[in-house]
Amino acid sequence: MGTVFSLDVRATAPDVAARAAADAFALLREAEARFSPFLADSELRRFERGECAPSSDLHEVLAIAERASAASGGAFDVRAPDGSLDTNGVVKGWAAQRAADALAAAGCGAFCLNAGGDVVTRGVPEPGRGWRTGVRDPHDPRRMLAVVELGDGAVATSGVYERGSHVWDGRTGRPATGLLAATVVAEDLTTADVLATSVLALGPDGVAWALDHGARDAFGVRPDGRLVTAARAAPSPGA
Amino acid sequence: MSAARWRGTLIYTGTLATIGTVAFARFGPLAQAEAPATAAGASSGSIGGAAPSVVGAPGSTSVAPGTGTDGSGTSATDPADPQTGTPQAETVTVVGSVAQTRYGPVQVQVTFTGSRLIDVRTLQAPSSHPESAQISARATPLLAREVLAAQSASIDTVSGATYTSEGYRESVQSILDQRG
Repeated sequence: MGTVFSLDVRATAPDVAARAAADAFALLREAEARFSPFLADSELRRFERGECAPSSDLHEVLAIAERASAASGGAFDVRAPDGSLDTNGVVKGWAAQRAADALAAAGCGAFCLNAGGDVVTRGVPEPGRGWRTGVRDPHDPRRMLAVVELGDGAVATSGVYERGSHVWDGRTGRPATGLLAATVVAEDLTTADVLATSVLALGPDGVAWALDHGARDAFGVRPDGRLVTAARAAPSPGA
Repeated sequence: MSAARWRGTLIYTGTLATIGTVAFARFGPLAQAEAPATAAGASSGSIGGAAPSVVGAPGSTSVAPGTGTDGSGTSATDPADPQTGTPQAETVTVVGSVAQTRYGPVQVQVTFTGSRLIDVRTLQAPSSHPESAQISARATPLLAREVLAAQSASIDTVSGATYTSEGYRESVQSILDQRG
C-alpha cells in the first residue's frame, strides 16, 4: 500500500532544507515502524499483545484517540470492528505534525508538508499570499472542490474513495457511509486529521460538530456529490 | 524542471505499509520572482477538468479566496492588510464551472482587482430566475467562496483521501511534484 509525502520548502538555505527534510522524513518512517497495524513487530502490535508498556508517544496517540472518541460520542474509535487496535486515524496527522515541528525547529520558516493528502503549512510560499491547498473532488482527481489558503495551519481530508470504506462508525461497528469525504481545517494537523476521520465516522452531522471541537472550517461531500458545509456564518438562501 | 525552484528531490522507497513509501521534497530559494512562473505553470490546463476562462489581463490571476473571508478564519490573509506583492492591481474576471451544491447547481463569476475579490455574480442559481448579486468581499458566503476558490488556477498542494501509490500517479499532487 503506502503513500507519498511531498515537501515544499521555501525561503530556506538548500543545505538547511535538505538536512531538515531528511530528519523529518526519518521521523515519519519511525512513526510508521512503531505504529503500523500491519507490522507484526510494531510497538502497537506488541503493546496489544501485552508485550510492552506504552511508550510516552504511544500513550499520547492513545490519549488523542480517547479524547476524539469521547467528543464524538464513540463514533471515532481506535478499536476496529474486529477488535484490533488501529491508530491510523490518529498517527498520520500526529506524525506529520511532529515532522513539521521538527522542520520549523531546524530553521525552515516556510514550508508545506503533504502527508498522503493531509497538509500542514508554515509561513508563506511567497510574499502576499498563503499556501493554497486544493481539496480534490472525490469523483474527479483533477477537479478541486475548494482551495484553502493558509499561513500556519493544517488541512486534512478523510475519504472512502481511494481505499474503500476503511473508516467505521464506532457506535455501530459498521462502515461509515454518510459521507464520501470530509475535510477539516485546523491549527495543527494532529487536530485536523483526527477531526476529519471523526466527521467521516459521524456523517453529515459531523461537519457542524467539528466546528465546536477545534476546526476552523469543515465540509463534507455526500455520496451523491452534494456538499455539506458548516452553515455557521452563511446566510440562509431563503430555503 | 525549473532550476530556479527546485534544489533537490528526495525519493524514499520502502515497504512501509501505512504511511510512507515515497517522499518528494522541493526546496525553493527565497521566493521573490516566482509568482509569474507559478501562475503560468499552474494554469497549463493540468489542474481542474473544467478550466476557468479568464477574461482580462492575465498578469495577476492569483485567486485568493482568503481575502473574501467572512471571519471563519480559513486564511491567514487579513482582508485589512495592505496589498503586498501586487504593485499594480489588475482586474481579472473568472467564470467558474457549474458546481453541484446542496441547494442545486451554482455557477458564479468572480472579479478580482489584484488579489482582492471585488465582485461575485451568480450566473446560475438553484432558483429558476438567474440573478446577479453584488456581494461584498466580506459578506461572500462560504458557499460562493468555495465555488470560486475551486476555480483557482494556482494551487500549491492537494488535500484528499490518503492515496494509494496508484492513486498518487493520477493525482494533481503528482503533477505539482513533477512541475518543480
